[in-house]
Amino acid sequence: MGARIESVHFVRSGTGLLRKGSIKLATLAALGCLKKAEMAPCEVDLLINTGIYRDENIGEPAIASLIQQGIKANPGVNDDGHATFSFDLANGGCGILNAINIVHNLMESDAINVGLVVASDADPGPSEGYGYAPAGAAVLLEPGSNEEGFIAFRTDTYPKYENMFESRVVFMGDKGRSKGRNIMRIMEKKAYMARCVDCAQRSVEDFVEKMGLDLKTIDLVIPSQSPIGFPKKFRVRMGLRRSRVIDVSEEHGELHTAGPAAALAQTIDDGQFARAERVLFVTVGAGITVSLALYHKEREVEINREGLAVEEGEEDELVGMLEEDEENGSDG
Amino acid sequence: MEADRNSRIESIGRALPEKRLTTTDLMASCRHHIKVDMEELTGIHERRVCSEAENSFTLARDAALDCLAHSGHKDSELGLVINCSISKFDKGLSHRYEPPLSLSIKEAIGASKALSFDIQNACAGMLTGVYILDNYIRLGLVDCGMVVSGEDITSLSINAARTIKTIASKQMASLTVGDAGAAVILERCPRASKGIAVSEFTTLSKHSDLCFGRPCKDAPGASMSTEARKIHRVAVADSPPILKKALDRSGLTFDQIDHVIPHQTSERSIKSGARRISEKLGVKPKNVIINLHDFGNTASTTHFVALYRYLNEGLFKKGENIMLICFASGLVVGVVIFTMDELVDKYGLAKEST
Repeated sequence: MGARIESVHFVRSGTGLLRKGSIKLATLAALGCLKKAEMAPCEVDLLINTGIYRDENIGEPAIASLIQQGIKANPGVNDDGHATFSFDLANGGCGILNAINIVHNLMESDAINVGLVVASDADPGPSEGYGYAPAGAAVLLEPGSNEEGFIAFRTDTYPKYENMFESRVVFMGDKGRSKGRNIMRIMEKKAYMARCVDCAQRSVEDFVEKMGLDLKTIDLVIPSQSPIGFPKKFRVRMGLRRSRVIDVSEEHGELHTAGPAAALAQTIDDGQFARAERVLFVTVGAGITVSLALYHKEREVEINREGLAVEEGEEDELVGMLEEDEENGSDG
Repeated sequence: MEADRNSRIESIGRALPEKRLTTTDLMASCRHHIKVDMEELTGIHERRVCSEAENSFTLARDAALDCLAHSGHKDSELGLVINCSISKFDKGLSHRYEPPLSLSIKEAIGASKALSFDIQNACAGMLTGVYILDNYIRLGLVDCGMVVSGEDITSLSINAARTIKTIASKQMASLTVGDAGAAVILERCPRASKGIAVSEFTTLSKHSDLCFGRPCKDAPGASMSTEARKIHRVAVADSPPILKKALDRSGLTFDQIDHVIPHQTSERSIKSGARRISEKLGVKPKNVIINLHDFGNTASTTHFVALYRYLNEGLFKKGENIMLICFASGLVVGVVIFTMDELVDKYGLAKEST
């Protein structure tokens, strides 16, 4: 079996003087993750950073190498030959699952033993349209077993919606200034959220069917936290119980690449993850891209299986939410 | 792991802008007179430069299409497309972050069903992509896939030419870059013990602060500050045990390598680096390839731009051992060792005679 989640850590930035940049956030998240796992940084074989919005829009080196240096994971050549390899992976909100998939594959090949996937975003400034909460998260992965680990990954792209979300650094001439400057501009069309839900629904239904599963047998859904409100809209569309689809936007605002890990961290902290047997990760990002992963584990705490889908008596609440969903999504 | 699941390089593609800029002309465009013979120092006579209609995306797309034209695989057979460029310009000097360029590239070449994402690892980008794709193929997750990159990076030179005052400037390395696109298709190796033997990477992060590239503060495009001499010094000092480890894993010694293709920075540094690393390893490779004269440093694409050229010139023979080495910002030391095979039949005179 491939990768198993060893620990997860989520960090939010303070404001004002306590504001932290993306590299600091990712570094703190990675250190927190290692501390929870009681693991030394030098044990990390592979570090993949999946954050998009980084300090000063640095293009090179890979931000992962700066995080590796921040946590002091084999910064130089070791006499024992142990080394760390780092790189960045970019695929919007889906990058974190793509990176976990790469770690999983390398563990299947016995090429690595410890993988650390990090994600963080902070306003690189100057910017227009940037609204993500500054935050970082890290997921520490070790080889799984028959009892626990990722068992399937899936990614679909829906390129007809490619222009619904775009971010780019463009040079803008400033009025009143002799010179212009490069600015990060983020453009999100109003219907982007609704289309993300459409695409996620299509991918999840097909994935679950191909895996021979019933959504009712999924105990926990860990979704992207952006676009803001996606967990709720997706839950309503799929007819899933509120308690099983994790939404941390009330606590943390709109989280971008770190969102799924933030949701996962919450379920570990509140015990939901321990009670789950099957966990479905549902990430969406620009493209539109949908990446999914299924995680299986033995329950650490026995519960009566309630199932994920809503039951009779809960439908009234859902009908109201579906109407609201359609109103908001009809602008596409 | 079954040996017949090794991956191999099935085809390589390249895209070059038509426009050329000589080192003489570039140095003449510098605002301040720099007292150095840049061509003599670097071995770079000229580099290609994107026109207004060309950018990272068009170079990557055209290299990918050229790669498919040399391939026995159809576009729809690609299971994975990884874009690895540092630059991600797709509309003039507008640098795209989301969606990733890999999505647009796979759509443009007809590989809609492929999994796709972008990798960023400075000049080690394409070799990092090879490392990832090789693993997907070895596990049988995909039969073939593409690693691609389009580097539209000569804005670094233009911006450096405005500000460099002396040869000690950290922007001097920005004057060595050129634009190019490259693509490579890997497939499952049909025979045992051939193809890619080893892909081995290490990031020596204590040197991660020696080179930074970012958007230019007051002009379109990017700027880069590099402590080039220090990077060269630490790469030569720290890489021998990493190269030795990769050679040991492949069962080869350095003198059994027929052609080493290092990352292309400057002729002097490649020659002195090869000499010092050979001294440390006790033996030297048969040939070290330098491909700077016509193209300069094309960042993540240098290894495949060189392979493409020398495949067409008939330099390689079947059965020869090729070693690709990268020293990239990070500091990433990467090695890919493979055995040349029928790939040579698809290029240059060999192709014309078949």
